[in-house]
Amino acid sequence: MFDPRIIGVGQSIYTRHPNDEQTIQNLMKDAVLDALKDANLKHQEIDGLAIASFSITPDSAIDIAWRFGLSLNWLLQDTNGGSSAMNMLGHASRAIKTGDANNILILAGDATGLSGYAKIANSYNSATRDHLAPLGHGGPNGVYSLVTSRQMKKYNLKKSDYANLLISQRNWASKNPYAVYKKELTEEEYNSAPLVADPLCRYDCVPVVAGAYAIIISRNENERLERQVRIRAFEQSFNYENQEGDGTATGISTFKDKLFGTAKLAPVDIGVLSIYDDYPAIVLAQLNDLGIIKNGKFRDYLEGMEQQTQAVNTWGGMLSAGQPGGMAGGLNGIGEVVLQLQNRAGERQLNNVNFGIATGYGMTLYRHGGTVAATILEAI
Amino acid sequence: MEKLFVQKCSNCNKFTFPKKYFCSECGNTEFDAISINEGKVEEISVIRHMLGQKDWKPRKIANIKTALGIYITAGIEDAAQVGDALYIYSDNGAPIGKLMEEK
Ligand SMILES: [Zn+2]
Repeated sequence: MFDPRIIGVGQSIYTRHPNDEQTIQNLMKDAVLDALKDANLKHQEIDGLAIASFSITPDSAIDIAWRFGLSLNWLLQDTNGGSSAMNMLGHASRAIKTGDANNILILAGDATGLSGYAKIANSYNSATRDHLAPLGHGGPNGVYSLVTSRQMKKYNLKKSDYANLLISQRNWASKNPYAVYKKELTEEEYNSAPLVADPLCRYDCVPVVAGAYAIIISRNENERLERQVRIRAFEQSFNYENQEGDGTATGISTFKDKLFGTAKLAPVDIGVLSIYDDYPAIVLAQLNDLGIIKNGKFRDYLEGMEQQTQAVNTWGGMLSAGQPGGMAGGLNGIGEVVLQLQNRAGERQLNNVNFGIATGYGMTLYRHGGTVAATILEAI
Repeated sequence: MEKLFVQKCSNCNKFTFPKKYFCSECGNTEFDAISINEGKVEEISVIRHMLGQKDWKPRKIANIKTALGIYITAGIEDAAQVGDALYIYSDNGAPIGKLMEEK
């Protein structure tokens, strides 16, 4: 058995308004080139591909392999939205452990444009198409507006309490050259922003961008790197409560103890967190399920975010850097933890980080997401 | 106005919506159709913007606790607020809630 290493990360430009050249294939090509260079691998050394994208339709994973000139032993296409990246990481890691492949490229991206995104949002699944879209539910914004209201009620939060999360992520984004929104966000701007779906305002809803992200996981180390990154623990949960809960807890609540138990770590040991951030309420729900927020004290945690002492979504997250599709957004979160663990996060670099968490959350079934996953990554 | 139907497991009596093929509680595959008539508004949202649509007119959606105990997401076309009791009906499978008239 080999203990796989994440040996390279790469990304394309993220843009709100892609030009004719910024197709999904071109953006993915840029991310792959960047990741190959980072991993110090030749194109021909890739023997496995995992891919997730809404925009490659009508193509499939094998079309991308062909068009990208990749001859492979292992191929996966994932459809789990915001937890696709994590699902692909898990499968790829096991494929390397069993010897099915040596160097797996994990690739995600989207370039649907706003109207394409709206179309996806309205026919995301049959439940949405049949029971929500006819109501003019506004896609995920409508679903998570109701979840956010429940969270506010349950934890006695005001809308303005959420401001620090957005401000903190925006501050991090200002240090991420790829982020689409880098300008400082003030409390006043947040509190007076136009509502999109009450209580969610413009800053609570992820900006859709065109972009792609790639990571490479391998049986070999990248000798150029001073610090290697391995997966210390990995857990997933699918449809854990049949959409019968109120959405303020996630499937992380089913595996939190196992995740930390396997890692032989506690929440306090985690130095950096990439928490899937399609909506602020979902970031908080995951932090609460992970035991990072203690005793349901959401407001205390949010107040602490003002100082940026909590290293959450240090790339700015999708809320500020942009959502290149949820699939690549999840991958960007993993990549950020890898960069932080390897002391390669540039201006965003944290001190003395040895363990990080990345999560994925996705697939809004009817009332909230049905998939969630988390990994603890370790620098060695 | 059509009735809105949910499923009741013929074995364990669990209610569910939308349609399922196996009961999540007992694995049974037989369901009875039960109409939902009433519910109460738990949370409400106004959808003020719709991606890709310039001439969007705000619409309201709500989380409704039905009289059967299960939750559905419904459209609201009148002045219903949190806590109000509603009639529930279906518009082509999409649940709609309407304020109960004063008695
Ligand atoms: Zn049953």
